Amino acid sequence: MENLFKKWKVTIPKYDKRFRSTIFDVFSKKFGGSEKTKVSLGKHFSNNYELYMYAFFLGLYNDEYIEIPEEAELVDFSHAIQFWGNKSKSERKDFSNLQEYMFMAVVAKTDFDMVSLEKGKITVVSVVKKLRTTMESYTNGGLNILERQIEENKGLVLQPTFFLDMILDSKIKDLEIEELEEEIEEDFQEMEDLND
Amino acid sequence: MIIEEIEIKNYQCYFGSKVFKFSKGLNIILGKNGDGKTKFYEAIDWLFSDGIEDKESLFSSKAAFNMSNGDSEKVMVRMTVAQDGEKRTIRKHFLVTKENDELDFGNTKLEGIEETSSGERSLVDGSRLRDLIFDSRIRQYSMFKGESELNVFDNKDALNNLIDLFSETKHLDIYVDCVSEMYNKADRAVTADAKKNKSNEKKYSILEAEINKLKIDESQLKLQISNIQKELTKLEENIDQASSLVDNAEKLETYNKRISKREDKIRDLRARIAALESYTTNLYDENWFLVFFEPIYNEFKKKAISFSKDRRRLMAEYNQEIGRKKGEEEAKKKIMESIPLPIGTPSQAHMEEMLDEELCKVCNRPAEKDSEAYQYMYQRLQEFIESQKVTKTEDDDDKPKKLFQYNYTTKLTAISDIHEQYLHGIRQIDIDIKDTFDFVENRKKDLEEQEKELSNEYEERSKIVSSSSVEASSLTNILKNYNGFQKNKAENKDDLVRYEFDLKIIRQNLNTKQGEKDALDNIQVDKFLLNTKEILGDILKVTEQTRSKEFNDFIDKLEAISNEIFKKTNKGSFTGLIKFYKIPYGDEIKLDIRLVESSGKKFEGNSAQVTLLHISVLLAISELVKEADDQSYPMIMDAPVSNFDEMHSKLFFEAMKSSVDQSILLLKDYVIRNESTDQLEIKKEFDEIKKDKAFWIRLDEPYENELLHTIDTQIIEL
Repeated sequence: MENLFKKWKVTIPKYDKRFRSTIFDVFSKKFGGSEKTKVSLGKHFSNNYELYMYAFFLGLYNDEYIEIPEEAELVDFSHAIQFWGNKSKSERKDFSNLQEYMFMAVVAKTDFDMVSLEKGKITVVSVVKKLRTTMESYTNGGLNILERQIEENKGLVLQPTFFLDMILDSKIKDLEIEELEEEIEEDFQEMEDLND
Repeated sequence: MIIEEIEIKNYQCYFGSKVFKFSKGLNIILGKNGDGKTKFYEAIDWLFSDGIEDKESLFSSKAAFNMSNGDSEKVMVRMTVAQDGEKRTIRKHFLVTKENDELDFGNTKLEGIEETSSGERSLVDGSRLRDLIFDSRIRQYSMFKGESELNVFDNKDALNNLIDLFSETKHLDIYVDCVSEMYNKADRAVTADAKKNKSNEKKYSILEAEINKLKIDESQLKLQISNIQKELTKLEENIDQASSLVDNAEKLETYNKRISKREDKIRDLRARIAALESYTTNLYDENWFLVFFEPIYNEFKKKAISFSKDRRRLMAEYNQEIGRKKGEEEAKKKIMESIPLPIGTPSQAHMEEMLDEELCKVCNRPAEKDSEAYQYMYQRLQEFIESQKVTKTEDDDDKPKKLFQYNYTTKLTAISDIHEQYLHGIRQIDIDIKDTFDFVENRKKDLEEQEKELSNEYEERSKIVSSSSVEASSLTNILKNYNGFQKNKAENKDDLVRYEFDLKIIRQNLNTKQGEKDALDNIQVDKFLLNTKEILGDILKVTEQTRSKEFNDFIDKLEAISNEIFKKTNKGSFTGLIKFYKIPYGDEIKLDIRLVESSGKKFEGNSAQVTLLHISVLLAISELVKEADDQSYPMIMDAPVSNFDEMHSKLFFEAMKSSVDQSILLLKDYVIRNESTDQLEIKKEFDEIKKDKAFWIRLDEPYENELLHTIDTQIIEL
């Protein structure tokens, strides 16, 4: 039994270099320092991959799929997904389980021909590349949102709720409510039908 | 070293030449306030110091008054000691001459004279001899002007001096430095060797950069911590000083304690809130990211199911197709099997023979070519040959060709199935976030209340400080400073806690990175180099541990001796124990000496106990000096027993007598004025003190209080 997750998580996703100085260097703290002091320094994220994950979920929940422009210079931080969130020697909790959730999301959002893959008509490398493109595109979307929000709310960046709020205000929440309303509407309709 | 004589000449209230001839053991100089005790002490201090001096103020007013134009007088302090079998003298002096009613002060000279046991005298360098007689570092533990100076460890360098003088630790310092240098060299060699290996070059240089960065961070933090600790010590001194000016000291102390407790509580609360408010971190550690994941999961699940369905459908269709093909073959076989040749069927060879001879040898009838019988036989032979061919190909393709080369779907559906059960937890996240917010809100309310209380307490404290009877102009300053000091202290403590925490994390990171680098070294570095580094590392560790042990042993020993003396001097009353606390002070250690109950609980002794505590420590140091230097140094103390009752004084004198070879104590307590005769006299109780020599210094009468030139201190040997 082959494992697409395993093939996907050894990859190192990339991002548009223009975000390095405007976002990554500003908000993520690569070396040393404590978890407690980082926020006061504006370093909400302990490392680059945390920020990358953040941008991914932000893009995902806002359905902001923006492919990185072809002419953009791509960079990464030499840290494969499989190591993201491994925290055995830290005061932080391990969150490597989020790797699988990200995988589920990219699979859900990527159009690929599973039959051809399993028949061997297309290579797994090509599918993994598609998955990576999905991840990079949502992340790129998330970074775009982040850039906008930071520009609009400069004074709020140091607030401890700044980054959480952005996730909680994602478009997907409205979708959820709409779906819920639709469901209620449907249930209501069903009840009415039954009464009739 | 024993002080045999001190001569004081024309020095302040000592007019003309005054000589104290001391003996071994306990020497007591009595004198009431203003009669020259402190000037005696200062005269010795002047002899041993090199600072700028106001010569006019040092010169006896009486001598100056008696001088005529053309006269000259000498101002001198001389000390003669017996040391190492020699008689050693140091004297410091300057000449005063009077011309045209003006005093002229000559240069100060310091001279040394050594006299061997055979009486041979030689002039030597004064300052060298002075250091030889009474090293300034030892004087630090031997000469005291009043009780307030007795806590020698208030001076940050006191402990270092002591260690330098007597502990083995200082010898080990050299070894630690040396081994540390060797270890660094070995480490550099290992790094250089590791760099030769190109395979991990990038990884190695990243690690190296990270380690260097962490080391820089570490040393910067250490420096910051050291600065804060120093600042805190200074602030505490300032606070103590300001507190001493406040009237209601006890109430102030109570408030200080209460405030300090509340500040700690607030600090804790803030830390807890900060920890709880690490919302961004919770996105990861508490999986808050997944708050909206359910629809995404559903999408994934739908896809996984559809993959699985497609796969199964295609598989079924394929299997059907295979089945159909197989069925056809089977049917064919059955047809073949349904017209079997009867037993004894002629073989292929026989058939061919019969066809060749156009004769059916089964029924013995002719079968001419193109006849029905011939055709039948020919067809059967062909079918037989064909059937043989079919059987052969069927064997080759027994297993049908696989539809799917790979199976990725099963793992996807497995992931989907596993995560189905986690959905409950994901639905809970929303509630968790809300709960956390509520909890933080409540803690913030607590914090607000605590801060309000604290501000009330600050106000109360200010009132206590401001209600003191200190003159109004300086009061504003004291109040301002006092509050400022307290505020700075609280802020510094906050910083200290944070920096120490940071340092811990950096050290953890450093260890991890160092471990990763070591692992790489292990793979690619010459084993000889590695072993060398490891051995040197071990030696370094052992040397450092030994040094630290020596240091601790020394402190323990000092503590033990201090306690012995303290018990003796405090007989019959509650003593408690002396405990030495090692307080980190930057990279160094500062000693905080406290009284503790046997349970280990600290308590503030009364002033007599505190004085005795400090004296016990000093006598303990003196014993250590004696042990290390093979000689004892005199203890010279001005007014150390003013807060002792009779019994404590007695015990104190005994301790002095038994612990040091020579002591010179200046006391005011035993001189009284007889009311009936209006004469000064010595109290009878003084006779009961076991002393070796006693002096009474008093101003030569009559004198005028307002006229300095009438002042002359006389020495009376008792």
